[in-house]
Amino acid sequence: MSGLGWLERLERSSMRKQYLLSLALIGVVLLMTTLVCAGAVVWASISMRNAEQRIVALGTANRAVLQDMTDAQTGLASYRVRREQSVLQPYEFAMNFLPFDQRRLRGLAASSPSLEAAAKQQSDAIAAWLGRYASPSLDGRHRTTAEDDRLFDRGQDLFKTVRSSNKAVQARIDSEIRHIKSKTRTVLILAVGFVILLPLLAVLVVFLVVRRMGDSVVKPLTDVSDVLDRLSAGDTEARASVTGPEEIREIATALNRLTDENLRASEVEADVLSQLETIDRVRTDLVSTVSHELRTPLTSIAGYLELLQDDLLDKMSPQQATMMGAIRRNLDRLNELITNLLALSRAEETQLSVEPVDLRGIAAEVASDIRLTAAARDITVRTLQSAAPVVVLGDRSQLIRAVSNLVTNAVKFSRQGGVVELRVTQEGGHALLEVVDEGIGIPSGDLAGLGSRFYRASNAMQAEIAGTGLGLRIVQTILDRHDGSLAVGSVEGEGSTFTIKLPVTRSGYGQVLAARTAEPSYD
Amino acid sequence: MARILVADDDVDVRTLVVLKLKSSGHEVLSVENGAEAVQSCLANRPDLVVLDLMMPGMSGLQACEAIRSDPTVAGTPVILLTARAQEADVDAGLKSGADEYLTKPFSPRELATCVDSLLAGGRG
Repeated sequence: MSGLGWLERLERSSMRKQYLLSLALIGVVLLMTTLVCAGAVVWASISMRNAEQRIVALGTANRAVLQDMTDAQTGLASYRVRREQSVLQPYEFAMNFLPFDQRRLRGLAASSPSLEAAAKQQSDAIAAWLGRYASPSLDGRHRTTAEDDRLFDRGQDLFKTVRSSNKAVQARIDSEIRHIKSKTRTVLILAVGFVILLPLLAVLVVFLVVRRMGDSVVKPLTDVSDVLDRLSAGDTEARASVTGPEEIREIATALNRLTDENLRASEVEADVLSQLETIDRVRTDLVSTVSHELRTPLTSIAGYLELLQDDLLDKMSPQQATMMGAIRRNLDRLNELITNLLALSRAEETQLSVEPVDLRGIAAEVASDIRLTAAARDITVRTLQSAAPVVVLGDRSQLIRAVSNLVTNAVKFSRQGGVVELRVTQEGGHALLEVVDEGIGIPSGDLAGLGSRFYRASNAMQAEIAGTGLGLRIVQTILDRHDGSLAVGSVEGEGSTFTIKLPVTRSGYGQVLAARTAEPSYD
Repeated sequence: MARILVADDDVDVRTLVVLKLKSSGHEVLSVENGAEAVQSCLANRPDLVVLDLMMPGMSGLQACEAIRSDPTVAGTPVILLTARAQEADVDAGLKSGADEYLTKPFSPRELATCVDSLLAGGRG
C-alpha cells in the first residue's frame, strides 16, 4: 500500500477516528520532543563531567611525572657532591613512583593521538635521561673531573629536554581542555536548539496534519452546502459528491437519495396535476357542450312555438290554446331543469374564486334583478340592511346564485300581493342573510327532506307550482363550500324564513376591502 | 328596413331568426359559420350582425373580433347568441366587441326587440 493510499484511507475514515488520531499524534510528538531534549541535556552534563575528570587526572599525572623527575635529578645532583648512599633516597623514591605515574599518564593520554604522541616524546626524553645520565652516574666507575663534569652537563641538558617535553604534554592537555569546553558548549547549544526547534517542528507537523484533515472535512461539507443552495435555487440536477469522512459521506448519500425521491415525487405530482387539468378541461368542455346541445334545440322549439302562437293567435280553439300553454310550460320547466343541473354541477365542481364580498351588495343586486318578475304578481321585494358592511370571503357569482335561488323560491311561493324581505345582519362571528316570505309555507313533515336532489314539498306539488327540486340543493352545495349553513323556519300557510349563515372575515382587513368592493361594482 | 346578417350552424335556429327578422320587415342574409359570416359581412356591409357563439371552425367570438378589426365594418352592431350564461362568457363576449348578448333559449320577440333597439342606436 502506498503512502498516499494510506492517507486517503484515513481521510475517508470517520471524523471521530481522525480526531482521535490527531490527538494521539500530538501526544507522541510532544513526548518525543521532551525525551530528546531531556536526553540531550543529560548526555551533555555527563560527558562534560567525564571530560573534566579526565583532564584533572591528566594534569595530576603529568605533574607527578615532572615531580618524580625533579626529585630524581635533585637526588643525583646531591649524590655527585656528597657521594653518600643516603642522599640517593629521593632518587630511589622517584624511580619507584616514576613507572607508575608514567603508565597512568600514558593510559589517560591514549584517547587523544596528539596527547599520546606528546606523552611518548616525554617518555623517550625520560628514557634518554635515565640511559645516558642516571645510569652512568650510578655505575660506580671512576671518572676524571672533566669526564664527570661532561656527564653532569649532559644530565642537565637531558633534564631540560624532559622538562620541555613535560611542558609540551601540559600544553596538549590545556588545548584538550579548550577543545572539550568548546565541544560541550556545542552540545549544549544543540540541546537548546532542539528544545526550541522540536516543539516548533511538532506544532508544524500537527498543524499540517490537522489542516489536511480539516480540509478533508470542510471541503465535502462545503460541497454539500453548495448542492443544497443549488437545489433550493431550483437546480434539480445538483447532486453531492460522496467524499470525505464517513459521516459526511452518509450525509451526502442521504441528501442525494432524498433529492432523487423528491424529483420523482414532483414528477409524479406534475403528471397528476396535468391529468387533473385535462380532466377539468374535458369536464368544462362537456358542460358547455351539453348546455349548447340541449339549449339549441330548446331555442328552436320555443321559438317556433312562439311564432306559431303569434300566427294562430285568433284562430285557436280554447282546447288548442290549453295544449299550446302546456307545451310552453313544459318547455320552461325543461329549460329551468337544464339551467339548475348545470348550476349544480358548477357549484359542486368549479374552483371557487374567493374574494371579500359584502352581503348587502348581493342582497341588493338579487332583489333588483327579481323585482320585475315579482311585480307581475304584485309581490313586493324589499331589503333591510345593516348600516355597516357585512363581509364574507366567498365566490361572488356563486353566492349570488344561492341567494337568487332562495329569493326566486320566496317569490314563487308567495301569494298575489305578498311581501318578500331580504335581511342582512351580523351576529358575532357570523353573517346572516334571511329571506322571509308570507307564502304558502312548508309542511313540517317535509322540512327534513328539503335540500335533497329533486325533492319538492307536497303542498308545492298540490298547488301545481313549477319547480325542479334542485334549487335548495344548489344553495346547500354552495354554502357547504363556503363553510356556511342554511336554516329553514316555516309555518304552513303563513310563510317561510330561509337563513344563510356564513363566517365573517376577521378584523379590519375585511372592512377595508369591503369598503372597496361595496363601491359601485353593481348597479 | 335594414340589412341583417345571421350566422348559425343550426339550420332550425337560423331559419327561426331569419323568419322572425323578415317578418319584422328586415332584409336578411344567412350563413352557416364564422368564416362565411366575416366574408359576407365584408362583401354585403349589413347594418347588423347576429352571430351564434358556438360554430364549427371559426367561433362567433373570433368572427366578432375579425369584424371589429376591419375598419370598413368595425362599427357594425353585433349580437351574440349563446347557450352559456356564465359571467366569464359574457365578459369574453363583450370584450370581443359584441354589443348585445342573448342567452339560449331566447324568445324571437326578445331578439326582435334587441335588434330594433341596436338599429335605433341604443343598447339593450
